[in-house]
Amino acid sequence: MTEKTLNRRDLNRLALASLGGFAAGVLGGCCPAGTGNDKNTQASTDDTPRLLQDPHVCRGINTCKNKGKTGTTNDCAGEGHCATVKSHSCDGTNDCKGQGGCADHPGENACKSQGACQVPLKAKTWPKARKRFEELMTEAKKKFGDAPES
Amino acid sequence: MTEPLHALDQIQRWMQAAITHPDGVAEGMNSAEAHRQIDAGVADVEKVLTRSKAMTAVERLAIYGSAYYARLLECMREEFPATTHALGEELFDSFAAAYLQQYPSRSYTLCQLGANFPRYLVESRPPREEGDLEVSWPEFLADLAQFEWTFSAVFDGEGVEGKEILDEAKLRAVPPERWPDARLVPVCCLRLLTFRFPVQAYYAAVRNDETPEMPVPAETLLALTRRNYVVRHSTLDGLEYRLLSALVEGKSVTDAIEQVAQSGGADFDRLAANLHEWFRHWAASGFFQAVELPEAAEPKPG
Repeated sequence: MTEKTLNRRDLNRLALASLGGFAAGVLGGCCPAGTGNDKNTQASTDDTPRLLQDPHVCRGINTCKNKGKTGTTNDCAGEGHCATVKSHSCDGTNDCKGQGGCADHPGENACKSQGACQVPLKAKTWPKARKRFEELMTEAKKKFGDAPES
Repeated sequence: MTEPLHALDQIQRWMQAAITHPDGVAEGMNSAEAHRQIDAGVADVEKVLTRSKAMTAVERLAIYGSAYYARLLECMREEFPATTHALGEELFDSFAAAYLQQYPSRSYTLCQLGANFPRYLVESRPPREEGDLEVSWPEFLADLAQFEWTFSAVFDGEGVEGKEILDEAKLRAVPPERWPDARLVPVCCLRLLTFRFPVQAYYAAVRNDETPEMPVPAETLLALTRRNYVVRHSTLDGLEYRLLSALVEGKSVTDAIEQVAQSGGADFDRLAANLHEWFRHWAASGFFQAVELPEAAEPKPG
């Protein structure tokens, strides 16, 4: 490694080098996504803007107006047909009514796959995360430190 | 026809206070906000909401409360897919639900829902025990969530699409002899980030439907930006990151180079050898929007 004190001449030389590179970058532009020619540059996994993809997440509630399920209209006020992300059975509260236990038995009713339907959750989450971590590390045959005492 | 006891907007606000309360609808009904709208708590809720044959009024309202949070949890999973992958859905939901209690949704838009999640993971980290590694899985989760949030924020935030950007004509207007004093104006969507794990690789693997393992710790320096509505990231080396940071902070080209070259541990030869390529890469990646020159000094009277 070389460390040195820069004089004005060194600085000008470096500045010139930077200008040459900068101009080359501006004139050359950016490689199209996916060519792999551009150092370290990685496109997002899908070039289609997320807002233009399905499922959508109802981002910005107003923009969802009349953009719910096909053939329906809504203004998102009641979130009636405007599923956030993929459709699920709780979409449209009417679907949930009478289907039992949404409050007391989360994940065991029409809110399928909504394992944590119950809110608030009082469980301590970090110890569970530690358990998950240990499982993953063991699976990957990697070493890890001891768990802190609870 | 009987007059309704309460105005529609009153009932709506009362329901909102009950349904969105982080401690559940019962607490919500008893909250000051709910009472401001309609003076009825859990004990006398049936003045406002009737019971059905099978369910009490509270149980009926709790369906809406659960549905509200179920939707928020879905949004959180969508916002943090790699963190969800790392934790597993059920455990991620536990973290997200606890987070929503600590930082309830306050914005009209769901875009802000996860804004404080990385901070929450740091704040709720269990205290380090003797023998714990300095950097371990809690740091990995926090870094990964921070990366995902920044990625989303850059995607959703202000960009330079449709705006004037640096082009050949603008650059040609800069006299070469004044380049050393030039300031490079970064695009508004450029973010420089430091992580303790290579979270970008983990994130990309998850997005490609792979099942990556938790990576080994490694200092990771990234530039994240958006171009043509596509968010891209570049990994930077230490010297490159310091130089780019100095430019983004507003230092002139020469001042930035000098600062980095004179800083402890800087390898002058490596700096000189890489400068051209770094500046080329930054320009080609659209990190900068404009070149600003300081006002020329008044010529001294002769």
